[in-house]
Amino acid sequence: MEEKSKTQQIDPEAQAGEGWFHLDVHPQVFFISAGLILFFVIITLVFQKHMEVVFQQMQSGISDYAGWFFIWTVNIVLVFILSLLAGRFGNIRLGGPDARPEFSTLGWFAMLFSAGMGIGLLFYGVAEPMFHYVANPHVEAGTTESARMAMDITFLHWGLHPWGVYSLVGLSLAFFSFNKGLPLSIRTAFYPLFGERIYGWTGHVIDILATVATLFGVATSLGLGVQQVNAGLDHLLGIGQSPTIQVFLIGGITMIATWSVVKGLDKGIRRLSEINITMAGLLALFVLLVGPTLFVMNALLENIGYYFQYLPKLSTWNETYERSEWQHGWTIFYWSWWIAWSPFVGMFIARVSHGRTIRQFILGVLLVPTFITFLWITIFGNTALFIEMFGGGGISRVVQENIPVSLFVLLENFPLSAITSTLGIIVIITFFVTSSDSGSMVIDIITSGGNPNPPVLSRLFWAIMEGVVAAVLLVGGGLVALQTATITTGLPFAAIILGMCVALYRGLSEYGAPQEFTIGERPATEFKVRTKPVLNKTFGRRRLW
Amino acid sequence: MLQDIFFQYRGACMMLFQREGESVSFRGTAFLVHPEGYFLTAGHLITGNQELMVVPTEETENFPPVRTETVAPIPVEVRQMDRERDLALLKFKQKIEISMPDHVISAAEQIPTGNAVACMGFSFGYYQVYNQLIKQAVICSRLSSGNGTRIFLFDSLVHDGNRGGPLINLYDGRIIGVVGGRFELQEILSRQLGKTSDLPIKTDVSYAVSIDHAVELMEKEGINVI
Repeated sequence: MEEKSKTQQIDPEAQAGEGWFHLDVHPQVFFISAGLILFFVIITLVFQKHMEVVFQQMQSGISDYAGWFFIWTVNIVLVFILSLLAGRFGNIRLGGPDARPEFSTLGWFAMLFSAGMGIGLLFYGVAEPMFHYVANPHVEAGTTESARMAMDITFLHWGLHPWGVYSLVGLSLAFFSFNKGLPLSIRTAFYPLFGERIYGWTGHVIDILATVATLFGVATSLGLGVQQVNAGLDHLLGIGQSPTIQVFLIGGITMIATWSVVKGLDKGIRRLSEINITMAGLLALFVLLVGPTLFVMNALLENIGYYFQYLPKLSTWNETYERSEWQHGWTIFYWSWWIAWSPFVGMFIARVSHGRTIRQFILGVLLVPTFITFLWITIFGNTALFIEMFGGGGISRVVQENIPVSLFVLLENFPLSAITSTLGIIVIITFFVTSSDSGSMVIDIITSGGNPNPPVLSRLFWAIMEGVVAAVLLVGGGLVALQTATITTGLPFAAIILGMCVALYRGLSEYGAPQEFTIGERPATEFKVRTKPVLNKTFGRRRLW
Repeated sequence: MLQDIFFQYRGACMMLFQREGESVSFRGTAFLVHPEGYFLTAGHLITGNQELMVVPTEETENFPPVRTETVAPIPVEVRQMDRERDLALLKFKQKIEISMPDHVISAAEQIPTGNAVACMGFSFGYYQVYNQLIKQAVICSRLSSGNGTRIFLFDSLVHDGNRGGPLINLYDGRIIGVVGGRFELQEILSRQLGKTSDLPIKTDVSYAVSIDHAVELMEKEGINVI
C-alpha cells in the first residue's frame, strides 16, 4: 500500500510539475465529503430555524457540563508543549535529520499567523478589551483595575493556550507524517489509537468528518465575516448592507483565494500571507505612532507581566464559587472554538513546518505568534482603552452595538482615517483570503489521501466550493446554525487532543530511543552449507573501476 | 558508540547465500534498508541465475559456536541491479513483518574525509564461520571511480565476507555506503599492468560505494527512502 510507505518527502518542485487536469483523489474521502456537504447545506436550508435551536442547545449544554473539561484540556496541553520545548526531544527534526525548512522563517511566521488567528484579531483586538473593561466578573467595571484585567483576560483567550493547542495538533501531524511516514492527514493523529485501521474505513470516516468540519468552519466564517465587512464598508462609505453586496464580496474573496491556492503554497499562500502581515504591521505601526505611544509601550510590558503573574489563577478559574455563566460565553466558547479549529490550523501548520526541529517549531508556533498577538492586542486594545479612559470615549458603546465597526471608530480618532480605514478593509479582506486559501489547501491535502502537494483541479474545486457554500448559506440562511455545529465538534476533539499528548510522547520516546532491526516470524527450511574455496581476488568483474 | 551501532544493526545485516541444488553456499553480506523487506548488497556477489537467500543472525548465546553446518535461509529475489555501480537491491520473496529504526540512510555527500565509520558483516562466512564482526575505521579518502561512481576509502582491511555490508557513520549511526571490498590497485590498473597483475601492491584500505547510488536504485524501484 503506497500510503504506508515509510517517508513523506516534500518536494517543492512537485508543485510546478503538476498538470492542470491531473486529479489525485482519495475516492471515498473526496466524494463522500462532497456529498455530505451538499446534504448538510440542503438540510440546513430546509430546517434552518430548527437546526439553529438544536445546535445552540447543544453548545450551551456543552458549556454547562463540559466547561471544566475544556479548561483542564487546554492547560494540560500547554504544560505538555512547554515541557517538549525544554525537554530532550527538542532537537528532533520534523522530516528527519537531513530535512531543511521549505520556507524562510519570516514567510513561515506570516503563514502561521494568517491561518491561525488573523481575522478574529482585527475585530476583537479593539472590541474584546472594551467588553471586559465595561463588564467582567473579577473586578469592578470601569476602574483602572478593570482596564488591567480586561487586557489580561483578552491575553488569556488569545495567548499561549490557543497556540499551545495548535502546536500540539500541528506537531503530532507533522511528526507522524514526516518522521514516521504516515499520510499527511487528520487520520494520522489517530494512528497510536487505531493502528493500521486508520487506512481503512475508520480512517476514512475521520478524514471525512475533518473535511466537512473544516469546510463548514471556513465557509461559515466567510459568510459571517462578509456581513461584518459589509457593516464596516457601510459605516465608511454608506453603501448599505444587503445580501447582494455580501455575495459579491464572497465572490471577490473566493476568487483571490482560488488564485492563491492554485498558485500553491510558496507562490500563492506564502506571498499573500506576507503581504497581509506587512499591511497589518503598517496599520499597527500607524496606530502606535499617532496614538498614545507612551501609554501603549508602557502597557505592553505591564500587560505581559500581569499575564504571567496571573496566568495560573486565570487559566484555572472555573466560576465554581460565583456560580455565574460569564465564562460560557467567553473562555469556554474560545477554548471550544480554538479546539474545533485545531485540526484545520494544525494541519496547515504541519504542512508548512517540514524541516524545523521540535524546539524551533514550538518557539515558532507557540511563543512568537503569542507575542505578536500580545503586541497587536496591546496596540489596538490599549489605544481604545486610552480613548475610553482619558480621551473622548464612545468606543465601548460602539462595541456593544456593532463589533465590526469598532476598528473603524478607533481609526476615526486619528488623522488620515480615510486612508487607514481603507487599509483596514483591505487587511480584513486579505485575512479572509488567507484563512480561506489555507482552509482549502488543508481540505485538498486530506481529500487527495495525504498528498502534501495536491493536484490543481482539486484545489480549484474546494476553493470554489467554500465560496459557493458560504454564498448559499448567506442567502438561504443557516450560517449561525452550521457554525455552532462546527464549534460543538470541539468537545470530542478535546478528548482526542488529550490522547494526542500521550500518543506524541510515546512516539517521540520510541523515536528518540535506540532502535534495532527486527524481523517477524517466517517459515524456514534448513539447508546444508557447501564450503567454497576462498576466492582469490574477486568474482564477477567489478565494472566500477 | 560502537556498541550502540552493533546493537542497532546486528539484525539488519544478514548472510547472503546462493542455492546450489540441495545445499547453499555463502556469497557475502546484505543488509535491510526498508521495512517492506528490501536489502542492499554489492552487485558483484550475484552471478548467474541461482536462487538467492539470506540468513539472519540469531545470537541466542553470548558466545556462539565458531562453525555451523546448516542454516535456515529465507529466499530473496533481485529487484534492481546496477552493475556499473556494483549495487543490487534484493527483496524478501515472502511477506515478513519488519521493524527498523527511522532515517538509517545518510546524506553521503556531507560525510567529510577523516570521519569515523564502522563496517559490519560476516567476514569469514566462506569458512562457515558465521559470526558478525564490527570494525572501526576512518574515511581516508573520497574518490570518483573510472565510471564516475562515488567511493569512500576507509582504513580497514575488510575480508571477502564483508562485501555487501554497510558502512556506517559513527557520529549518527546512519549508513553512508555499501562495502565493495579491498582497495586493490591491481584491479584498477589491470589494463595498464596487463598480465602482471600479481605485482605486490598491497594496501590496508577498503572501499565502499556511496549510499547515494543505492538511493537512486531504491527510487528506481519506487520505494521511498527515509
